[in-house]
Amino acid sequence: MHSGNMRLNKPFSHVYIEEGIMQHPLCTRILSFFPHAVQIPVTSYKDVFSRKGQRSSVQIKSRNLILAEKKDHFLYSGSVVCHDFDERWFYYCTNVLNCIYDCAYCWLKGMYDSANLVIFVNQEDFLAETAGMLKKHPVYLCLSYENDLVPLENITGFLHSWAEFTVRNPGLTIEIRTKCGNEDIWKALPVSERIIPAFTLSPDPVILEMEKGTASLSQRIRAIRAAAENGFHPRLCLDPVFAVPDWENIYGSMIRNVMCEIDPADIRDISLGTFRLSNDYMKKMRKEYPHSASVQYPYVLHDGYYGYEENKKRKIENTIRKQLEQYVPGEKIYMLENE
Amino acid sequence: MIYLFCALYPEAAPLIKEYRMKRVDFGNGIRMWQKDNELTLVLTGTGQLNAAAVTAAVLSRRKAGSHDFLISYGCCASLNTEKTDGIFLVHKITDLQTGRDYYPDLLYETGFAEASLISENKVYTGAENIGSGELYDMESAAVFHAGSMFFPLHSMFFIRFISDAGQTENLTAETITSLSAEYLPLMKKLIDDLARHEEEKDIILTEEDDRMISKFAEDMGCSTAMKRELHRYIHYAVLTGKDWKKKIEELYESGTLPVTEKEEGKKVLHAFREYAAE
Repeated sequence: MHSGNMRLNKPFSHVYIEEGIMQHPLCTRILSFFPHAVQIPVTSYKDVFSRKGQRSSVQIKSRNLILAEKKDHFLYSGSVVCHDFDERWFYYCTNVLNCIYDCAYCWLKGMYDSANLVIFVNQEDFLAETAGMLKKHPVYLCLSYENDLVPLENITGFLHSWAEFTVRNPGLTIEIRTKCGNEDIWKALPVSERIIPAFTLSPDPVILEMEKGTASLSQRIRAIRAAAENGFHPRLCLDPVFAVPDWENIYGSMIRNVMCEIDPADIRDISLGTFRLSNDYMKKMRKEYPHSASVQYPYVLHDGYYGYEENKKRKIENTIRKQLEQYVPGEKIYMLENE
Repeated sequence: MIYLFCALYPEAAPLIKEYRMKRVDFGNGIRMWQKDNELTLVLTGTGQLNAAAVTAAVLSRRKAGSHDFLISYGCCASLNTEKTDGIFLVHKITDLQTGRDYYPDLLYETGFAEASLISENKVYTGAENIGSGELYDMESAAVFHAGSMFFPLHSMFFIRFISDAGQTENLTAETITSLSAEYLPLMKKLIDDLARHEEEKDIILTEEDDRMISKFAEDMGCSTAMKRELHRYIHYAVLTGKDWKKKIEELYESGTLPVTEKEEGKKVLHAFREYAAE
């Protein structure tokens, strides 16, 4: 890998480790996957992750790993720009900050100054906080809100931990959102109606242009099928949808392709939404990624969020909704404004 | 431009000689050498105050920025029985006085072994209980602090060679120069690689483009906010390969521009957005 004449370090050439968790079993386990990495002790992960002067657009080509302990705020309430699927007790948690993939439009690029990956190893504290909340009310928990846990499962084991915890706790429902094509994980996790695999679907032209490192559409379809064949009812997420040239045919073709491969009866529900991003994140991303057409597009600002102009947005969402309704009943399709 | 900061002349001497650098009169008592527009070497003097003041003064007056590099180079003491000699890329600097840790962003392969370093404003005698660092010097934290106001963190390199373990009575200028000369090939490789390095430029629109946009905005009766929007639409048009200059020419040829009323300008801007976004 070259950037000009200076060769970049391989990804995860360095691992920053909070001094307090050096002896944590998960820290030891994760480090065993990076035997050649330089280990650098740190007092707090924020000293590295939140440094001023990072260039995430450069860093993402040679990102490093930070192992840390989450001290508080184990569960957060969901954002207003996210689908809540009519769930009242809608939360998300962050076992990992940042995503292994490099999606051009990802809001994490607007949220964080760093492209480095933070893994919080104290999973036991996440479970304890969730157990405490479950004593008060049911919990609907999105696990992959600021990350994608599926491609990290080999090294973290978080999904197995959460899935087993969910099976033991009837008030808990978890959603595992991913762009990963791993089929085996859906054969290995315990099956429950309260464990929801959620696959982001994009047509291949969008994947190639904007979702670097993620699985191709056909790989994602195989993973969805593997999940369905093993008893899960997957959620499909056509979100975000982009107004790429010929979007109507490109998305229509993708939907036909998916519905040919997956029995629509196996699909739990579908979320649908066009691209949207908060004003603050957009400003930051436009500055850091001047070459990215997906963030430089002349979106319109509405109520603090950038997105397509209303007519275009409605046209896209209504057209795709109609295409989906050829296969699944309308009540299974969630659009942000309907919720 | 690569900015090289050394505390002492004996550390810098082999580099000055190798690159046949010429003395520059910078003023303010700051000693500086330069080779063309590629390499500037500055002596900071010893200690945190000198290092911070000189680094900030030079980078500020020279208008150093994100496409330049900073190398802090010099000798240090070893705090570690396992690291008694050698040259290292520093991956963590702890300022002992403030307790603050500094982390350069280690994105590039340099070939150097790595180490952590403690930086404090007094000479290490070998008798103090310093803590968990491997190396010790008196300038790195200050150079980092000042440098980070000008450079992204991946553009700063802190290179230290071990000259002693705190016993400095027998440490002469000749010894330091001799050690620095020993590591010259490694330093030369880093400097030459950085000199050849070209990061992807952030520039989408040239100065000439900007002038054209300003004229276009003026003839459209744009407010400051409208001009910013126009700039963004053209930025996107460039990314998507549209011939925006031809589009502007057409607007002039059709008599749409220049506008006579501000409302007309708003309509033209809206139409231009449609063109860029289509």
